[in-house]
Amino acid sequence: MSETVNLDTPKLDRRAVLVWAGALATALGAGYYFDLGITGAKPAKAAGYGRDPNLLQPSVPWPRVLTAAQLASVKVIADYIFPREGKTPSASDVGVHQLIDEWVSAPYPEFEADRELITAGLHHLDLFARLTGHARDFATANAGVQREVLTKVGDVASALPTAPFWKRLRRLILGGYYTTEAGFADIGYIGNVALKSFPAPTPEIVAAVERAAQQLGLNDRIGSRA
Amino acid sequence: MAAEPFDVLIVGSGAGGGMAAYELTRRGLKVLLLEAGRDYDPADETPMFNLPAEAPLRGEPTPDKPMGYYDATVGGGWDIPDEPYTVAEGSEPFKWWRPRMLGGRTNHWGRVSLRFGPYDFKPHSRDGLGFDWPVTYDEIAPWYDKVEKLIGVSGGPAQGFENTPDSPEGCLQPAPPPKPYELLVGRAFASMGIPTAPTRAAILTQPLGERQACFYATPCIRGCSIGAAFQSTTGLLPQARATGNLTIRTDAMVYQVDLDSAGKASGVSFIDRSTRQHHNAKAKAVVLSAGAGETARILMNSRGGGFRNGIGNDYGLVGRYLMDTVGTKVTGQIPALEGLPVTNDDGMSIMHTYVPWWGYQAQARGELNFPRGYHVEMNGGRLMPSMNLIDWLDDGKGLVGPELRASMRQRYGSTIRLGSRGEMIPNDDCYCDLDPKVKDKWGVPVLRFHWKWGEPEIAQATHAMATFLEVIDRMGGTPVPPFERDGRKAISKGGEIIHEVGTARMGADAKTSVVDSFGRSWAVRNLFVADGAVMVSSPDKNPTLSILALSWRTASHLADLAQRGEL
Repeated sequence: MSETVNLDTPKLDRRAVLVWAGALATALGAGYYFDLGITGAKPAKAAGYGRDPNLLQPSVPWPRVLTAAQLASVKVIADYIFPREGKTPSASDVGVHQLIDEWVSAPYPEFEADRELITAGLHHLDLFARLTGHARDFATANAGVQREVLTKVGDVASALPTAPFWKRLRRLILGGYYTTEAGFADIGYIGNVALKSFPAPTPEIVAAVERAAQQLGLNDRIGSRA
Repeated sequence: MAAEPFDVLIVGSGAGGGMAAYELTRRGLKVLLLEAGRDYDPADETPMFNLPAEAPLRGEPTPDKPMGYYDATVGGGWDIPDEPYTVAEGSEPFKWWRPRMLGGRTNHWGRVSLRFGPYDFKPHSRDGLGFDWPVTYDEIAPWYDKVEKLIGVSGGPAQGFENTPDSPEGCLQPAPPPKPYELLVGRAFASMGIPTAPTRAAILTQPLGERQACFYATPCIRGCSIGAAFQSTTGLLPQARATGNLTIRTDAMVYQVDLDSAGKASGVSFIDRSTRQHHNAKAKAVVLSAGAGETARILMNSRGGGFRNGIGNDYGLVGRYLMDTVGTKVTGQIPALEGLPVTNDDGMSIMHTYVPWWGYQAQARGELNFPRGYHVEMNGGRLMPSMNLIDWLDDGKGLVGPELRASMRQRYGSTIRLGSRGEMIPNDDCYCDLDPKVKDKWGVPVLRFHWKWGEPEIAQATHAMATFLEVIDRMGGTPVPPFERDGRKAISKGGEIIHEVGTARMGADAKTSVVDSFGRSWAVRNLFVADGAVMVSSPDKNPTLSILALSWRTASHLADLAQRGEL
């Protein structure tokens, strides 16, 4: 099976190669990763943080498992999803790629499943990058190649076998980004501050809700209960 | 410790044990409280304001911390290493949440504090199903009054809803105003003829003694270092300690009640979890408040004095009529909530508005295919981002960059989650016994659970899901997968709502119950049960407030007996 993908294929049209790779992979289905001999990662030996960790001074006891190249790929992906925009930091500015490394390194079954999926997917990106004929792997490819690969892989309509990988990694990157203080600011979360009292909805809010209720035809069948 | 003559020995320091310790010590009795877990003080250990990004894995659940890194639960969760429980072959799943810490589950509970109503104490008399309690609402009402004032329950003015008792003047603290999203949810329910009401929460909106009022930030599940959210460790045990009559020993895993030659309880046997040494502790009376599961286990493992099947188990009733709460849930994305002004919606961690069960009259008219109801809990709005919340907000189009950010900003605050909490009718298929083979690391037989939801619960869950999907639809929203319409699939697992009750129920006589109406064992008269085990029914109302009220009443009765020399 490994003979099917000839990485030395010279100068094919990059787009055509990607389409071909995708079609091939789809045809092969889930077995594809294994046929290529991609095993993802080794089983975890590390311990978790236990059932009574220090909640005030948290620490992560397990070692990180991503290789430098894999971590570099994740960083590229994270910043493709959340690039720096003006004063708003990029995903890697707030360490989202580090979170992904921490996440896939965690010695718990659900996280180990993510490690399998994500490391296999990263391997797939390397393959796609090489198939363009302009890169040895994804992490060291030029920005144009990286973007082309990610556009393809991230197309929700695509039937690439990388779809589960992309869906999961994208979800983790989104969650990882918005659970930072920068993410709070970006999305508009203003809580986690002590208040003297909880404010009643302002007239503006009450009016907005009333408008919405009217538009939705939500007629009160109970009568006003002040 | 061995030298001190204790009047009462309490097993467990949660709602039941903490409450009993509070009453008994104030009545001048010398009390030894044994807690299986470690010492714990919310003032020192609660991660107030700590951010998800400071925690491993953004604080998301792991097998070590199944409700997230910052959950107050110490040493436990759904599983405790070397302290297993089993689920019988052929049983539906059952889950058992156990902490190993002073204060038990009161350190992380939801704080929803609803009184059981008059119907809830006499369900069999109303519809012929389940069993009646040996007490009425009117007998328990004064204890609810006392508990609400003591622990601090906030709630609204009298509502007059059927079987949803209002509190007398002076019992409740004021409720906080509704959160913005709750206004629209309330309108959707109102359009279906269903009224909403201010939540009853064991969360202070005004200072109470040493405890401060809620400052509307940081999730209650972490515990509360300022004591605003009630915990045994801030609301009961410090006050009991202040009497000078309380001795607490932690890491003391009780496994049996010891009996003297006259058949009275002389104390308990326990294992020190840190040294693994076995010990005995003695007292004139014993109160079991270890939680419905562990209390039943201790009773069944107490086989001295001719109790071949355990104390109070001559009629096979210990472990029987195990109940939980029926739970369902669904998330909805509501475009009509997009674009509301930016607000801080943290508030109390739980909803400020809930929906009491509205269907008593419809059930009386035979219009519903399930006999017992549910109330609706909710959350939503501009919650602190979590991995789950962000997943619900994603529009599924695979956006990246500025388009993604714009979409997320637009949709943030527009998701709501509706959940039902419903009554379960006790049935013959739901119980726990001792596993004939499996023992814990100290060689003590473990509990084996048997579970099967009844048709009434499944039909109720189907109704709840249909109601929620209609509410979401009326709000112009869409439910976020995954969700189930079929109650059989939508219903929570046994034990999952962590309201397990009813394994040593109270009753009118020794043949149909394990304890009397004061929680006093029929079999061993100086042995008492003061936790959810004594419950005869499991109404939709969350059990903790009732555990507190019943425990206070039991402890008061015990103190009366002690003062009269009748123990």
